[in-house]
Parts: sequence; C-alpha cells; structure tokens
Amino acid sequence: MEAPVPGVLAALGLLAAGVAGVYAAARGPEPLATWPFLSGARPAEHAMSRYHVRWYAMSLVFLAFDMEMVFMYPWALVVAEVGTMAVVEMFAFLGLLMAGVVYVWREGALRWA
Amino acid sequence: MPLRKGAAALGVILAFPVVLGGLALAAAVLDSRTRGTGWAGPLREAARLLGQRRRRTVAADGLLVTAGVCALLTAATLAGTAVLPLGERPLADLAVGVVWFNAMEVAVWAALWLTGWGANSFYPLVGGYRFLAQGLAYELPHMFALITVAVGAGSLRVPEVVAAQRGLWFAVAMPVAFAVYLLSALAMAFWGPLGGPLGVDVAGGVRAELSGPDLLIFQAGRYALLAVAAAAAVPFFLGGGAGPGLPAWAWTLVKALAVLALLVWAGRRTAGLRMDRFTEASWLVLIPAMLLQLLVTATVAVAAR
Amino acid sequence: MGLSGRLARWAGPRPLLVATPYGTRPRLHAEAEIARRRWHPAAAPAAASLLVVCGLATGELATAVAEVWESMPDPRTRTDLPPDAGPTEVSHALDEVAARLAGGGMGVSGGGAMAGYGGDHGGGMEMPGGIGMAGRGEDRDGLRLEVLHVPLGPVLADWPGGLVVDATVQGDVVQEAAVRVVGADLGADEPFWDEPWHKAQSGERVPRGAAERRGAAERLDGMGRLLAVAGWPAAARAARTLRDRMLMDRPAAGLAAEFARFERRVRGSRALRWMLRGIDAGQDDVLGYALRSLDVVGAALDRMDDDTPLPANRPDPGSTHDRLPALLAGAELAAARLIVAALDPRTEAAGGHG
Repeated sequence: MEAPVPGVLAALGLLAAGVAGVYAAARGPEPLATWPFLSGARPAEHAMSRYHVRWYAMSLVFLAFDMEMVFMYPWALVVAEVGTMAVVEMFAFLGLLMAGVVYVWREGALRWA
Repeated sequence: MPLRKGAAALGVILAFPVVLGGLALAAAVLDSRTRGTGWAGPLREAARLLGQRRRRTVAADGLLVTAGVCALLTAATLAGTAVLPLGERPLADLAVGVVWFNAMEVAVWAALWLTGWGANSFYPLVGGYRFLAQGLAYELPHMFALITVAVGAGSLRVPEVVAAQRGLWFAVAMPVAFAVYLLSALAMAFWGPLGGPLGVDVAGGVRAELSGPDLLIFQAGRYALLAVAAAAAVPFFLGGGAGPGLPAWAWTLVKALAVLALLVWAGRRTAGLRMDRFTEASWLVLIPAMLLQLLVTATVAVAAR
Repeated sequence: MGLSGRLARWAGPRPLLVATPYGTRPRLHAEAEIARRRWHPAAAPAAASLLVVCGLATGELATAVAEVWESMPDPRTRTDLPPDAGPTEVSHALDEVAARLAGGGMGVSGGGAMAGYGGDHGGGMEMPGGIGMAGRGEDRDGLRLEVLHVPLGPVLADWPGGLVVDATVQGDVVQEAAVRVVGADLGADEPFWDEPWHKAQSGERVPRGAAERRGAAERLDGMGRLLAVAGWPAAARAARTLRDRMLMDRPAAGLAAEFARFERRVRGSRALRWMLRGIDAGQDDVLGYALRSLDVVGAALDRMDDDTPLPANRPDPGSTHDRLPALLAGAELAAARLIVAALDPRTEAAGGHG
C-alpha cells in the first residue's frame, strides 16, 4: 500500500474548503429562529421524543445477519482456496439464518403497516 | 524535475474530487431535466440557496443537523474518491477497498438520522426514521452483492476486482447481483422510488427544515451519493476502464454516466416504494436470490481453482 | 441591478403554493405557469422563497398562512392571487414577485413569530420555546409511547385546500384524527368544479360536454395529488398537464390519445398497484379509487363533444368528510395521505365542519 493517505486527505481538505466556502458565502449574520413546519400551526410539544418503531423486531434480525456479514468478507478471500468445505459451512450458516428469517416472516415482523 | 513530478501527482489527486463533483453535477442536471426544471436547474437552485438565510427551529440541535448535513457529502467523498479507480488506479489502493466503500456508504444512515432528529420537527423526524427502515431493507442485499463481487474476484482490492473481469464482466457473470446492486444504489442515495425519506407526503421529510447553505450542501451530498453509487458499478460490475479505443479514465467516465442516466431514467418511471411493503419482498425475494447468486459464484470460483 | 441582483433574477424563485377552498381557479393557473417557467415548487417553507396564496385565505387559514410566512427565510416574497384570477393575471403576478425577489424580497424575516423565543433558556424547569415535552398514551399496539399533536393541513403540498386533519400520532402512526375545513366561510362563490352546473341552474344553456370536461379535470387534479403523494412525481405532472388540456376548449381527439398513454402508464405500474392495494379507503382500497378515477375520465372523454344541454339539477356528489376520521385512525402517515388523496374531499362550503 503506497501512501494512500495524502490523496484522501487532499480530497477531504478540498471538501472542507468547499463546505466552508458555501457557509461563508451564504448571507445572513444570524439564522432565522423559527417554529418547525406543521402545516401552519405551532407545535404543542417537542418532536424529539420516543418514536414508535414498529420494525423493531426486524432490526434485531438485521443485526444478526449484519454480524454474519463480518465473517463473509474474510470468507470471500479464502473460499476458492479452501474449497467446497468453505462453501458448505458458510451456506449451512446462512441457511440457519434464513430459517430465522422465514420464522420472523411467518410471525409477521416483515410487514408492519 | 521533482517540481513537475509533484505537480503531476497533485493533478492526479485533484482529479478524483473534481470528477466526483462533475458526476454529482451530472446527476443533478439529469434529475432536473427529467423533473422539468431544465438543464440549468441545479445551478440556478445553487445560486438561490447561496443567497438564502439559514434557519434554526425551536430547541433544535444545530450541531447534529450540521454534522448530518456535512456527513452526507463526506460519506460520498470518502466512498467515491478513495478506492474507486479513475482509469487504472484508485487514490488509495487498499487491500480491503470493497469493505471501505461499504463502510463509508453506511455513514449515510447516521447522516440522515442526525439531520432528521436534530431539527426537532415532526416531518424530518419521520423522514429520518423512514431511512432507517429503508436501510434494514436494502443493506443486506447490497452487501451480498458486494461480497459476491469479492468472491468472483477472490479479492477485496478494487483494481483486482477490475482485473478479474478481463474475460467477462461481472454484470454478465452475476446478473442478479448487478440488478440488486442497482436497486440498492437507488436506496442508498434515497433517490427516485426509494426517496421516501424525502417524500413530498411528509413535506420533504429529512430536508423539510433545511434552507440556504444547509440545503445546498445536503443536496450536493445526495447527488454525490447517487453519482458514487453509479460510479462504483463500473469497477464492480462493468469491467472498470476496459474498452476499445479510449483511455481507461474515459471509459470509466462513460460507463459511470451511462449507469447514472439509467438510474435517473428508471427512477422516474416508478412509483414510490414504501418500506412497510418493500421490506418483505427484500427479505424474502432479494436476499434468497442473492444467496443463490452467491452460491453459484462461489461454486464456480471453487471449481475454477 | 448589481451582480447579486442579476444572479438572483437568473436563479428564480422557489414557490410554495397554498391552496384554499375557493382558490381552485388561480391554483390551476399558478401550477401551470410555474411548470411553464420551470420553477421547482417547494414542499415546505424552509426551501421556499415565494409564497403563492391561491384564493382568499380567511379566518384560521389566514393565521396558518401567516405562520408559514413567518417561518420562510429571506429573501422571500408573497403574492395573493384572487379567486377569479385568469391566466394573464396570474402570469403578471408571478412576474412581479419574481422581480421583487430579485431586488431582495419583502422585508426581513424573523420579527414576529419567534419574538418571544430567545433561543435556549437558561436551564431550570422552563421548556425551550415555551412548549412542553410530549405526553404519553396507549397506542394501537398496547404500548405507552409519546403522543404528538400534528395537524395535517391546511398549508401542505398536494393537499386539498383548507382541509385540516387534527391528528394525534405516535411515531408515524395516526392514532386519532378529527377533520375540519378552514377558510371556507366565504361561501358566496360556487365551487370551481361545479361551475357548468351552476350556470345551467341559473338558466344558461351549457353543453353537456363542458360539464364532462370539468368533471374529468377534477378527477385528474385528484390523480395528480394522489400520484404525487404516492412518490411518483413524473406521473403526477402528466396528470396535471392532462387536466389543464382538459379545461381548454380543444377537440377531444388528440386528448384521447394522450390520456390513453397516461392511463396505460398508471395502470401498467406494478409498483403503484403493489403500494396502493389494500389500503382501506372506505368503499374500496386506494388502488380501486385510483382506477375508478381513470374510468371516469375515460368515459368523460367519449362525451366531451356532447352538445346537448346540461340539465339544471345535478346529482349531489356527496361528502366524504365523515368517513375520514375512522379511516385515518391506525393508518401510517403515508397511508393516511394516500387515503385523503383517494377520497379527495371537497372543501367548499358544502363540506363545513365535520
């Protein structure tokens, strides 16, 4: 790996300069203090509050799968080398996860309207 | 002599962000064109937003909003300029380039949610959560598509992925992965039918309270993201800079623009996809389809050895 | 005009349209004119620089419009289009405000609405902005979660003019909804869509074709809102273009071909069917309402050149207001918007409070 950092840093620097330039060029000393948009009404309460996340169960299944993804990147590098056994093992693992997905689907967690 | 060498190196380094900016502008122009606001629409809007005052809603967390707005453009820049080769080589030829791309692009989740939450306003909040639900639906098929590419190439280094397509482009060798990638590209840039987080039904969603420079940078980040998603399809699926006649960088650009135009055009033709329905299809159709694609690719990779 | 003025003139405005119960005529002209000028309409005041009030904003609607105006960042300007404004009048008004905007707009924002709000107050029990945190309540799934009071309308993009749905929401689920109409207290004008029938009632000879055109245009107007809310702006634009052609006195022949293309596109969209199917809108799901609108327009096209006189009494279109609260309760925000767009309630005086 030949010094990747300067290039990326240069890109980031350019970006930072651009963003700073946009903010500097934009007019107005003080942002306009305002109520949030609510169709022309003032809010009765602050919007920042606990949100009814109805896909909560799904987010857990997602996490399980996402963890598994961490194994897949190194697996992708060695699968050809290790051979059939690597394919069988990984897909047995994925099969287990998919069984979980099918279960979750039957429980209705993939639809929430 | 060393001076000239240094200038050349600087030119190469600058080329990446400049090309990204150009592609983002191209995305904005294509979008504006199909929306009926003309070729000059994005530049006019940028000029207007530069002159517009910033806003701050009651008890907003301004720092979070600014962080979210800037994170979008930063994520696009880091995903786009570091590991995607413009021609032969990327700026940073990481051994885990594919993972880097994936990791940077996931920062969009944080960017949108921070922007949506920070404004202390109902519609941005709904938009932010819409994107999280969208992430749960698109991210796994997206990652499977990237991993299939890595298995096909036997490497996570982007130039090696390109080299592995010398015989056959991955778009042909793994068509399911390519199709899923394109769909997830729209979702990742919350664009077209997957633009729910910015939906007109929630008064613009995440960006509902943004004005002036904040909105300008947010929009730039979004178009940059769409451009990066399209540009990444070139090394991952379309053989990188390979092609007759033109130099590699030119082919890269031509292919990236073609994918971009395809995404914009297809996005205009489809009604919005809501996650309360799409998620089911994503998990029960897209993920199994991707697993089959991965199985085929892995089997071929093992057999070829 | 200096450089920045020329730049502002070139940049053009970003309009936010406010529909009012009796403002259909100026709204149609304004929408068409804005599309012709390639301005990009905004969905919220933050991005907008031009407030276009279509018709008279009275009573509570006027208050809501003032509130929205206060939350628009400068440079900003506003125009109020009278209910009987014709296309040239609308075009002139837009020219005028565009020029005014290029000159810096109207006044500096930020004096009125937030005058009492000085940013974050210094700790203690006082809540920022003088508003409290959300209270909690049972939700439809048996959880106790924060409840927000969110009025949908009257100032909302792709929303019937003057309609207000006072919703209590948890997350993006509407728990309860009450429906009312604001700004319709000046009931002197007839609803724009009923104009041919009104003329017929007052003894004028009106060809049936004129009423068919008007009815078809009303359906297409509703389709425009539905498709926009369904996240398909390109199709919404097509519906609005067709609507405007429908209202011009041109032979139906070219129109029929154009509508056929539009209809094929909408009916053929699998994504649209997938997303609209099964969202209960009362007598049918939202998809059913959408497809029926297409049927109505298609049937009207055949009778557009019908020259027989229109009878004086029109069958009452009926009000859908009463059905809304029950349909919206328990719906997700996106579905709620689709339901309202599908039922497309009339907000002229007949609607009243419901």
